[in-house]
Amino acid sequence: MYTTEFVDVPLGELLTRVQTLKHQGMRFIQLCAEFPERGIGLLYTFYDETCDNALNLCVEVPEGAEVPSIQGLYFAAFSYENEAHDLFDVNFVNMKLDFGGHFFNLAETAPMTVISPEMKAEREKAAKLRAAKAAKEAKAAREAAEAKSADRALTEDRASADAAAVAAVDAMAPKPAKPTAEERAAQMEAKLAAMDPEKAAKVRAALEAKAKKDAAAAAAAGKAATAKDGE
Amino acid sequence: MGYNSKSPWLIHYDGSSCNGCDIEVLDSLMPLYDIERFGIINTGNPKHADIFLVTGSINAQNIRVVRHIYSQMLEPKVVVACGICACTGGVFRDCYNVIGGVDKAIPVDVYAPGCAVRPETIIEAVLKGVEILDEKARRLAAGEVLQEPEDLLDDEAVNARLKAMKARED
Amino acid sequence: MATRTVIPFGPQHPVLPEPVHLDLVVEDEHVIEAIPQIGFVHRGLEKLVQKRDYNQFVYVAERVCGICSFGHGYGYAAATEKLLGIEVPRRVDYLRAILEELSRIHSHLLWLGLLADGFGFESLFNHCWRLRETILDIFQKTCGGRIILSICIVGGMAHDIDDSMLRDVCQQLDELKRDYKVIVDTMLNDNSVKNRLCGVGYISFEDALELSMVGPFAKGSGIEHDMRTTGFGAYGDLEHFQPIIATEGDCYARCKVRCEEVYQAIDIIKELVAKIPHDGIGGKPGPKVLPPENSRAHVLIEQPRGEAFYYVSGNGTKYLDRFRLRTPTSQNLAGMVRALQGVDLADVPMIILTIDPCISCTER
Repeated sequence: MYTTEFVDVPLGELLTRVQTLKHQGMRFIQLCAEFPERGIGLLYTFYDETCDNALNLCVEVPEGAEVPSIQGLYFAAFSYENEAHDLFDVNFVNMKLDFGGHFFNLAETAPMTVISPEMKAEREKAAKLRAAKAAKEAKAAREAAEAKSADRALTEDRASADAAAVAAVDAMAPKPAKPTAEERAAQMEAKLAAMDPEKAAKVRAALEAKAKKDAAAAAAAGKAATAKDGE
Repeated sequence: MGYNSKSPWLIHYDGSSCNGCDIEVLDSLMPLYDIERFGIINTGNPKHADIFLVTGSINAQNIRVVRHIYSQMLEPKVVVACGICACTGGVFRDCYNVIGGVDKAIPVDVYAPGCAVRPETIIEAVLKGVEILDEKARRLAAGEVLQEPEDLLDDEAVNARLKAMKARED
Repeated sequence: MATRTVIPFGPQHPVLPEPVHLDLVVEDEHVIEAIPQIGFVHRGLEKLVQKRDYNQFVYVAERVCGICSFGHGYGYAAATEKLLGIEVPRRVDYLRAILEELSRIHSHLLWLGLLADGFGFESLFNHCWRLRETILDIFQKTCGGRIILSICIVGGMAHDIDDSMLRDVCQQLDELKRDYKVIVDTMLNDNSVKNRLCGVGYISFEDALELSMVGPFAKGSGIEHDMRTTGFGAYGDLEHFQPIIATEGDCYARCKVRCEEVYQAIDIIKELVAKIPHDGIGGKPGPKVLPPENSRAHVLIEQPRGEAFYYVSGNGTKYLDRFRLRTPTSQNLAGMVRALQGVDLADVPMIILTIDPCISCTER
């Protein structure tokens, strides 16, 4: 079974690296271009028959950079370089056989660099998930720090400990302020205004019933408390 | 049955097909399915052919080739689109270099779907095409002039299609 | 001083099943050089990875080429399994190898028929394709389709092929072998065939290495390179595998190599069917299984025309970032240009056919 390895190579060292590989007798497999989020990259694959290893050189190509052609060393690369030029608009120099952009006669230039709407949506979704994950991790870290500071506060001076802990926690991740009662009522009103009128009426009735129940419970608790005090 | 259907010759062109439908077209000529028993021969010369079998979808590079071959054939002629890529563009309809099925380039008479199209379907489609060939021959003999689309070899029409395809991608 | 003319060859030509255009620069019926022009079959399907998730894309990958269809599905599925870190059961490896070898037999029979047709040897063309129908019937019975099989999925196989069916396959291949031997002996021992193929389109061992050629095209010039020797998939369990090579470097040598490979493929299938394990056929990965971010994987498999390279890279979503397929014919284009230099104009179709081009694979 053969092994595979991926190695990053800067653009400036590409030609010398390929020359060394040719002297070592490596076989050229392919060259392709790719377009992930970080920009256009080239992938050169060579195969070492002595140890059955496939070596991949990954080269980042900055915008508008000139890439040296390897057709002088491996002529079979001409079809791949012309294709990369036509589909990804990669600029190769010193090509031995150059079709000048007419290898594939396409209706549009560099079609592989156009991102489809589905892919865009998926990338945004993935970015959101990443951000959510980072926020979750930060929250977990903050809670761990709070627990730690609570332990510390038992032994240190209470006031200074609290202040230090609160300052440390706030520095790590600012706590979102809890909405006050007025703010919550305002948010509820806004939601009801946007809802269906029938539904809104039902929700309001439910809220009133809940408020009455809470008041009755509070009154009962208060009565019980005064009754207790009174005894 | 007119005499055109006694021994119609066919010409086959592959426009961006994956070869699946092409080898099924060649298979129909082979001993097992044998379309040659109807007197049909596969020729390479458009002037000899009555039936134009096209496989694969139309892309920017071969739209002119397909139109050119069609324009060289003599009336009466029929076009059979073999395989789903030739009918509508198939699995590759969303690709950036595919304009669509063969009817985006030339008028099609018979559509034979399938991926890859089976030889039985091809034989059925060709025989239906032969009936249409007879019909066209009858109309031609009655003095009617069978019109080709006027803009067949016109560059403007081809460029308009290419622009529409590009607009779809954006 | 003889004048030079440029003769266009293709895209529509009786001997070529596929559109490829060559500009032949000729001087009095001798070809000085040949400049290929491809792009008639370019559909741009590598971009479809952005619109079809990685499970759906296997059906697009299969349809890159109708002749090597199973190999493309196999390569894509194997590369994606490597990316996702899925281990498939050994039975899946065996079934895939068996179907790949059947695909090789079918492809070589197809090629032999087309070569005979290019020769003008129509009756051999008909016989080869008649034999090929046996293989297509096998595909139909086991997988459900004659050309596009759709049995390979990411994670395993779509359904199982049971042992009684595999034994039937071996029996049919034995009958095929008897008929095939008659055909091949007729073809290779015929004097007119030898006169037309021997010494034509010569490529030396050093040139073949220099141009990085692959497949039977290179094996005809003595290069002993075959990915099956590395033992990927089920090929590692074979008792003894040696690639078939010939040293003359001309068209006849390449024909001999391909004809012998069919016998070798039949033997491989029989050996694998005898040893096949019964540990399940895997299954489709669930919707939560996604490739990690910035991940990449590639596989190399041996298609009928040579070694093919499949590369996939993931970005954490269900759409892959990139799928790259490098087929053997795109690697052999440089060799084709070299083989066509200095030959007679009438030999050009013959040389192109012995290279066994698959242009739809090259252009995708």
